[in-house]
Amino acid sequence: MLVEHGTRGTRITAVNGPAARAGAMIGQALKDARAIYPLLQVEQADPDADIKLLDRIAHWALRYSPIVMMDGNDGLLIDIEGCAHLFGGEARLIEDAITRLSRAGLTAHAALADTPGAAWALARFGAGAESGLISPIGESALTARLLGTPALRLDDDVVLLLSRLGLKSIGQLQDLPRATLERRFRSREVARSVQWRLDQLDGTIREPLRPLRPPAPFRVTMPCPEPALDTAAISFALNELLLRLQYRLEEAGQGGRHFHFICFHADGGSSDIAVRLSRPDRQAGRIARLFADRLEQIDPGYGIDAFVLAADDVAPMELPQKSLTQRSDTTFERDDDERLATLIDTLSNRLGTQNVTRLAPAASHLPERAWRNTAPVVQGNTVLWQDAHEAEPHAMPLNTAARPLRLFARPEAVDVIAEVPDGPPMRFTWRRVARAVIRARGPERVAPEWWVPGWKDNGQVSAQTRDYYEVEDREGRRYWLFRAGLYDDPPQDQPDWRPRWFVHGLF
Amino acid sequence: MSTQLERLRDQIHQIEGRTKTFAALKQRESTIKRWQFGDEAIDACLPEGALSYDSVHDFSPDHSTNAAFLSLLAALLIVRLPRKGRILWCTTLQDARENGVLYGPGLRMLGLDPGRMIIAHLKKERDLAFVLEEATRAKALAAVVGEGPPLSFTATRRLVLAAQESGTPCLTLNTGRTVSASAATTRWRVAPIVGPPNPEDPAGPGFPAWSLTLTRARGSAPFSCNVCWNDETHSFNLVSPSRDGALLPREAQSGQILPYDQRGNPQRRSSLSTQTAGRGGHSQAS
Repeated sequence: MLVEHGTRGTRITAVNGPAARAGAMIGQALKDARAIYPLLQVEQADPDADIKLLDRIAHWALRYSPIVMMDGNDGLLIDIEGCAHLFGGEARLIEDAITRLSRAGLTAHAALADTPGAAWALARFGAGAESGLISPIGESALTARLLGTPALRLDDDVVLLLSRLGLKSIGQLQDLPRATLERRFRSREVARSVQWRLDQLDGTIREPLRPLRPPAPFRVTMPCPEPALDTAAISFALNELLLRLQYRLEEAGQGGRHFHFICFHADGGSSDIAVRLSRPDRQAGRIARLFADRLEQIDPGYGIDAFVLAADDVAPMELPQKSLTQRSDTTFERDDDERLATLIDTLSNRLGTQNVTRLAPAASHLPERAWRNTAPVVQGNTVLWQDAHEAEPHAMPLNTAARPLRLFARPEAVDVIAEVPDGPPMRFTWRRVARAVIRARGPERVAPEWWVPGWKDNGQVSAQTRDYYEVEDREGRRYWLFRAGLYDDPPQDQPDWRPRWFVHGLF
Repeated sequence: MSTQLERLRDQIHQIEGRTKTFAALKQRESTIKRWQFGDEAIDACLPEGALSYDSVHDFSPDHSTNAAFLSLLAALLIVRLPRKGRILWCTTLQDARENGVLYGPGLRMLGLDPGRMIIAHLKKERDLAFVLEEATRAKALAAVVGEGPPLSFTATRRLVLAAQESGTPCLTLNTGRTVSASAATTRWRVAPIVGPPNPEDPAGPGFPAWSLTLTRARGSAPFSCNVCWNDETHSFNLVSPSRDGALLPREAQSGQILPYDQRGNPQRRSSLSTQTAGRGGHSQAS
């Protein structure tokens, strides 16, 4: 029995079979229940853990269908349309689900109906839902007639109101003409909500489920007769599924960019791995290679009894025709592109997508914003910076001032001695080493982006005027230094403020 | 006979829609495809007169705090690389923090389009060997550059085999604190030095310059020299030290190539410079 402390004392939030037989009820005060049966075992309720468990079960339930939705903190709605035959019919599917859950130590009530509303009502309030309840096709609304009004998913006060009106079962509500139903309620919203739920029950209003993850358009499953226990078996299943998926994608002329491999554990729960591709593909061999060094991340545990492979982010994919005889320059390039795409996929799946990037120009004169990292593109020619400049000469000015080869993400503060306050540095100390400057070029003045709203609050350094110097020290090392701020323009509240120096890059 | 053949070949080229004649293509292949420093004296000392494509070139700094300054040399060598295509530059996240990230506009200043660069940031140093090998083997890139602590001997050996198989050059830049045994085809030690002044702006930083030491190479004797990068010709030039420690451009005084003895010091015998050049030239012919 689980309890929760609330404003109205300690209340029971969940009871198991024996406790219910002893007379404990959900919502009852703990002391009342103890008065009836003093030997009740009480545990503190942990709603977060409940949600986590439900989430795990929901992911496990993806074995039955790609569309699974968590309902409150104690229910799952599964759309098994078109999936039942994979498990030998609806009855077998429900039986399978209930036995598996009970083996995992969970008590489940299940019902199968035409609409989510009817299934919800039957699973929670129908007699015999412990062993799975299946309403005949097209008769869900009839099956639900005998259930009480709480099965309509209405607010408690609406249910109370209905019972005061003498309406106790769904059947009674269904028999009433709609117009009279509306007249019985004081507010129109309440009447609407009752009608809405009734319509959902019989399917007049469609009730779409919000799945855990959007269902993949291409998905292949493989149940195992014997649980798979080692990586070899998993990789065998993966290769088999990849071939089947490749066949289906080929038929549709499509390729996927995201492949998701889910393993369902015999003892409940699931584990999954995914690979991302830089462009649509379906070639089983290539995708298997990307999965290869991830397979060991799957812990088979007590065995895996079903596998699912799904292709997401699907796009039409035309097969480049390889020339039979001539090896012209274009086929060379295409081969190169293909190999490059494969390489980029290998690297991004190993290192993480955000760690394999390309440098792209950005329209800003602030050095740290003049570029950005983007995903490497492999289509035909590269986006060259020269082209970007020619396309937008105003946005991408061709800067001829010196720029370093390496830029620090965060400029590093240095101590500088300069001949004159506004002049280039004579010597400076960076990383505890004093460096004597023998040659310097500059300054190159970079103004802050004063036209951007809120530029002054944008951190101290980027709100200040910077003077950049390219300097060379006595050992031939070259640095890009800047002085942040102007001597004649100190901040108003700090009269003894002085500009600071930073190293921003190395040549 | 041969002229008739060439005419026929030209005709085929025209049918194929290529603009260049066969002879021009042939010429282009024989002249452009070598990867050289651009200074005859240095190139003559290299094995077969050029840096080879299908090999690993390893660069170590004279001191680990100078590791960041290796990347300019590597980038400029890639500017000299007569190949189109992408370049993969791998760096560990730790090096990116320590030495800064590769900066697009800076690459562009060197004449290397940043759009050609693919940057791979490695969270773990031990991924470096895998990434470099995979990239070198892929036959998809013009060159591969890897920055990080030195690889194990086995890893470098595998890398050399991958480079031989694919013909993709791999440059490894050692940013670690140690130098370890390596199977790299050529190994260089690099120290930044004060370059010759820019004649247009003598007060500003001059040409970037390095003291280069080839400590190991198959098929050539180790040597040491001072080179600077000439931005106008896009080539490396020999420079020589003058009395006050500053360097003069090559026009002022011819630079020297000094043989390098294994104990680590260049031998100061100027007469050897011509000998080495001669040997290099000989191996090129054979």
